Amino acid sequence: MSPDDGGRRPSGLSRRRLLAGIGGVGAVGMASGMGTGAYLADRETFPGNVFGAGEVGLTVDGDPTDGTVSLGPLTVDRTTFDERPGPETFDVGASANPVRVWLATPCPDGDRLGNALEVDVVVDGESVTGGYRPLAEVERDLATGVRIDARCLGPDDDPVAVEVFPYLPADSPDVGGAATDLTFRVYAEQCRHVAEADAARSNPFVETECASACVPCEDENGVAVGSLTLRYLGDDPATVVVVATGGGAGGRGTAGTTVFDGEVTPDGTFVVDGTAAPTNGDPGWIGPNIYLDDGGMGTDPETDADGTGGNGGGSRGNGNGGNGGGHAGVNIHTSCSVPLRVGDVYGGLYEIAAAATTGGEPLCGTEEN
Amino acid sequence: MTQKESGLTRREALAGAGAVGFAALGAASGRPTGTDNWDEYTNYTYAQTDTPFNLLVGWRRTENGTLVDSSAVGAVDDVGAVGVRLVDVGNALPHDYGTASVGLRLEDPEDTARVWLRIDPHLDGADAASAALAERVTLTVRQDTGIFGIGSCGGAEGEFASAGELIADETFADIDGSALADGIELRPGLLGDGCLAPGEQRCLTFAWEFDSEGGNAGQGGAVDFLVEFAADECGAEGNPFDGNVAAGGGGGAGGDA
Repeated sequence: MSPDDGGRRPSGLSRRRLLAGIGGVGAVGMASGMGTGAYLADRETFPGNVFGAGEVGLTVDGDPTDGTVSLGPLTVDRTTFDERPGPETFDVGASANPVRVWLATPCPDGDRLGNALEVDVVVDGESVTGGYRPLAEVERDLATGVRIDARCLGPDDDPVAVEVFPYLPADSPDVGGAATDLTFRVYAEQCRHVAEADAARSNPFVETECASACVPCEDENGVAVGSLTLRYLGDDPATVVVVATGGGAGGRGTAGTTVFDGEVTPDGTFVVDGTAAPTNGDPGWIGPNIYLDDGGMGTDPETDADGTGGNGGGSRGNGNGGNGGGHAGVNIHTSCSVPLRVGDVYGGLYEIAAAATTGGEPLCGTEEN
Repeated sequence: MTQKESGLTRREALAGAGAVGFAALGAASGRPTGTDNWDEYTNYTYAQTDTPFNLLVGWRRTENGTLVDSSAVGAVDDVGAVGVRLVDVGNALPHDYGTASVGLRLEDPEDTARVWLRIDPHLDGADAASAALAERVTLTVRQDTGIFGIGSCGGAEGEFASAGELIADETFADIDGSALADGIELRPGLLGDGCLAPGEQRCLTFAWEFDSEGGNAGQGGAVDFLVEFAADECGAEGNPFDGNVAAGGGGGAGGDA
């Protein structure tokens, strides 16, 4: 805001010309003898005063930005950690005045890759995501914005380097052919007159609340179910036994692991927790299947004895429900090979009252839920 | 500055820049309390004129509390010729503020004069950003009279600056087309005939502020304006700025010759 001596603006008439004109008027007055008819006057003009407003802006890779940076489509193959692909990068710079800069992402949109693809977002060499994490989690966390300038980013400072490392683990679900985008938002606010102590209040994203924090369990999207809260819909109290099988669940094959064995009352709930079914690689995972048996016979007229059927996915059904592996009762696929949603009812006896991933995130419900 | 869930355009992203987190105005630094003694108006020197009225001018200006320009002690400048500016800001941001102090003295052994002031922003034809900026920048002009003469001509940073009679306190947009844009007589107080006697001084303070409210309105805009003083004979009637020979420069000395 210092004076720009080299950029003086036109001031209009020079003072000398003005005075010449004034003198002429005076001379006429004096010559006419009408001293009160033509006044002598002086004039001082401060010319060319100017009040110019500056600008606050950002550049991305050197070009002015509208505040949105899109990376992708990110098409990655399942691979080992050592062979993970290199990062997508962009630089954020200040175009004019020193600014504070916040980086944010939109909320996750249920992208099929969201839970399988892991990303690590690194700003100037430091991860802002705590390392590799599922894309959906990263988007949910970054939706509230993160400050990325070290102090205040000036136009002459080195730009802030943002690197996004994508990684699709080798043991992740097959999402071949799928692609996703990752969009960032960048926001800048002037540093001048805003104390560092007050800067946090300038984060425009801080109040962002993602519309739904639930995680879908469908299409083999890689979600690992960690717990199920089930409501018993039987008419009478019963002893329910739940066995987790397959997928390395307990390493016991179809014999499975008993993950719940207890008395339940009509409309009462009970919890099946993955920690009781130590599966290969993920101790919190409940496994790909559970079987529920309340000791009754023919609990569901549409349940086949061999477990290959189901209840047909009626309005309250889900296409699961058959027995399998020689187990009595009702089968629930927990591998997300078929949709698993809060509100689903299995065998007419068990309603999913709540469910969560191994990371504690709630699973999405049916439209009614 | 609402960015939730919607695409964030740069304009939207910047929209709240003026409304969030601006610190309170700092106290203006600067000179100690002024005095009613012109000779103590220390940092001021005078412009020279060679017309019947030797109207001398001293000035200083600050930006965000820092002195950025003043009439050099001992130097004699022609205000118009050297292009002295009372406001010369090219990169203002919301919550910027500044001052200008001007002292006028009729350095003439015999004559008396009336002194007039005109500030004309010339907003006609301004682009949208400049017009918006004019709505956000407030200019406060006061007679620097102190309190009952005590502390007069202390400058805009003086202790009694706020006690001076208010001439204007409005945005440039409001000034445009106002009486101040046509010219007003500087006639502090109710006593006397308002004439400036030889050796007497009139001092003014100007304070501007870029309003922090308003988001990005005015970003990149500019407001140009003249600050003109005119001295006229005490017996004169009417506005000496009337009948100017050219717009923007002033000229003709009032008078229906």
